[in-house]
Amino acid sequence: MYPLLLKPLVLGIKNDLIREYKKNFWNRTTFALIFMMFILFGMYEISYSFFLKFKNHSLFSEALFSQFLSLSLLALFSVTTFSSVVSSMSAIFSSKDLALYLSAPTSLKNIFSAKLIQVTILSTWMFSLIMTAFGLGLIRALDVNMLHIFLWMSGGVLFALIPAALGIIIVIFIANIVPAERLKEVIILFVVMGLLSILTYDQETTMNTKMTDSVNKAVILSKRFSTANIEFLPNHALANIISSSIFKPKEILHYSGLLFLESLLSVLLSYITFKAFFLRGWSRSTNSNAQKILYKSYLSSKIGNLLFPKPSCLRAFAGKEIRMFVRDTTQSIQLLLLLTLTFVYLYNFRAIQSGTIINGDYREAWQALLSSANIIFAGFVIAAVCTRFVYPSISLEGTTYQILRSVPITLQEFLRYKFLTWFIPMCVLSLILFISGGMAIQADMFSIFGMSVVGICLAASLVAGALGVGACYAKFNWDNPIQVTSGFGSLVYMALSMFIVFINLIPASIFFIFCNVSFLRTKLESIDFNFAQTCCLFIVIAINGAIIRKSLQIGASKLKELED
Amino acid sequence: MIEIDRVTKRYGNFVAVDNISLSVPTGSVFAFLGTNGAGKTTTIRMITGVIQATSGTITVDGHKVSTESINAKSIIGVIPDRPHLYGRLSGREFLNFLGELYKVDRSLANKRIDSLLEMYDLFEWQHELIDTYSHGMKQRLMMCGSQIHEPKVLIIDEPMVGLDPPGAKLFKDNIRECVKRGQTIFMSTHSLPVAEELATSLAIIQRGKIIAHGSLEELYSRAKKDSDDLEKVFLDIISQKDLYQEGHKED
Repeated sequence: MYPLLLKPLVLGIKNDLIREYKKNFWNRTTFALIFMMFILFGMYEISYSFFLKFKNHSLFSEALFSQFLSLSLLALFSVTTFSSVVSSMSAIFSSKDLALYLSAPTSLKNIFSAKLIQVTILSTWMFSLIMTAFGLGLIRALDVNMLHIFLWMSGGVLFALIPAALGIIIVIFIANIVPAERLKEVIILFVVMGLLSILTYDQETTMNTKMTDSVNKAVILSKRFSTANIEFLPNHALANIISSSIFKPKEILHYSGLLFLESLLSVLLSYITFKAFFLRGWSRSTNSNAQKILYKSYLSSKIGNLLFPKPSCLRAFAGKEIRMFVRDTTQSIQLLLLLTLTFVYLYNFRAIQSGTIINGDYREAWQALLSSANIIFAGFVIAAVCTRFVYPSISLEGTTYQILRSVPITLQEFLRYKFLTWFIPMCVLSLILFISGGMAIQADMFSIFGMSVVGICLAASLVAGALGVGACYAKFNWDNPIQVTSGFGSLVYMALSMFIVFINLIPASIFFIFCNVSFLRTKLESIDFNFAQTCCLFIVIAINGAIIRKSLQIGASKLKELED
Repeated sequence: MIEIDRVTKRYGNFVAVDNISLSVPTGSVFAFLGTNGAGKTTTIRMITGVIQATSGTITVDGHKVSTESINAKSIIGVIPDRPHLYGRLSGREFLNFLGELYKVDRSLANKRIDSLLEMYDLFEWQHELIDTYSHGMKQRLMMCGSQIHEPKVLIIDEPMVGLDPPGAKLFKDNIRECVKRGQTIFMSTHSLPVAEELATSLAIIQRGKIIAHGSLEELYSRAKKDSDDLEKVFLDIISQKDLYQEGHKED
């Protein structure tokens, strides 16, 4: 029995499916499911082949396997923790149904358990699907028995509960400690400190400067923390549950007990915090008088005049989007997620480079491989950011969408303005990631130039894709904002973004091979390498141009269907 | 039935409700009047237990809202000013959900849902998604929802917003029925004719303070000129208070 308070969520999904399948079986959901199954099956096959080969390799040992797993789970844990913070903010303080629950004779315990389950599901269901595909590949490759599969699944549930419980604690403390009108400054402070940490971390690894200031000390601490070997962390326990079931089955109970205790403790702590501080925080958050506009309007208008000298629809749209984003706490707090993703990405990428010493011809091939990996990883970071910010931007118009449709602009123009508004910040982020990634792996200038071109194109097509899928799955009457980002459409967008990244990877990889692998130049003398490299970049531009055009076209036609 | 004793609600330095005291007897219709932002909705949210008072006590049928909130809430029915209805549920599913939330026996809830849907002219629409309802239909559905557990007290925030004339008549007739059954009604409204027609006692709140309280006759007599038009009386009392406060500022 699911808790009563989750009933509207479950019934809502059921009704959506009934409504969709009443019209036509071969609808967008069916196609999206088939597409998703295809992607998940691909992941399953890749992981199966990888683990099958890995199993027979001399390097296959408990220490390496558990270390690798622990590191991956740590990345997952940090991302889901921040995802849970965002989900908790939305599910606990921005949810429209809370007034109904609070006026009904239902206890805080019921509200807490419903919200905990909701936050856990909303922040982990996509990761769970992907992990299931990889897990099934691992199970098949290593012939894991049923009891151990059950323990893995139970461990996974306990592991998923911890970030959700932490998210609730963090959000309740934020709502109680930070005044509503100061929340934005706190977020900005965190973002600035985080960016400083990333920059100083870069100096620390490359220049070995003396660590004197507190920011650098924090960076060293976080670096040590990221070794993923700390015993009390849940990623360590879950990784050891999985690895001991393969190598040392007797130790499995020890780690299962540890994870159970950690999960129980975090849920209990979360409940105590909820019971003690939730109502106070809720009372503060409902205070409309606290939502003061912090920044003088003349400053924003000066910046607006500088960027867009003449009044235009684009200027109006960009201004509205930026203001809404900055003033909407549930949106702006997601900058923390962006920061985590950037940090995890740059940290791991530098770790790969600094931990690798390869000589001779292989070094050039390795360099080409790292350049391609930069495309994949940075592409996924941009896709993750687009899932959070760009994909929901159409649905988040909410009921005001009617106002936008009553002004004299076409749907195509509406999507084009949205695209241009989001493309600029995503392009900047993309360039930061690609160029800093390129510098981290010590790529040459021409490779970095290639990465920048791919980065700009990829940012544009991922933004257009997000808007296209966002228009297909537009939902203007949401119960709470997180429903939009954690809906089925975002999973479809994630699958689409994987497709976009991989289709860009083909010409981009050829470009990097031509850039780095010098012995090819001697073997393939008849080819004009400069011409070939230019062609690769033009193919990238052409592919992304087609994706942008098609995505915006499909988006506009779906919005038109919605109006009809 | 409802006792509000020296209740204050502060948000930082801003005082939304300032030391108010009210008493609403059983079986009466109490109208809570005031301008926009006067503190009506904040007061209602405190009575229904959605937010906590900074100081003072609120008692509903002998249950303190702050300490016995579950008991107090189980005898209150609420119609908020902007009702949240799950758009993706059907009307009947939503009412069933509320029935479970208020712990009403399933078969009894089904009987009540049938009669309420009939009463509010929504029976034919019961299996349609709430998203497809008009604003007035949503209001009427919320009225059904507030009575699913036959509450002793009905708290209504701005009941006439979005109702068409037949809907408004239906609402007023049902309020009279509720009073006949012994229910107590606490209603905040901008619609002075509705207050005049239904209320047995009234209070006017301005800038978080109660500036007038009593029966209709008492309020008429408080106004500067003898009048039997509540609109004039309301505007008169509000302007007296404004002039008084401006005079204080100048001093």
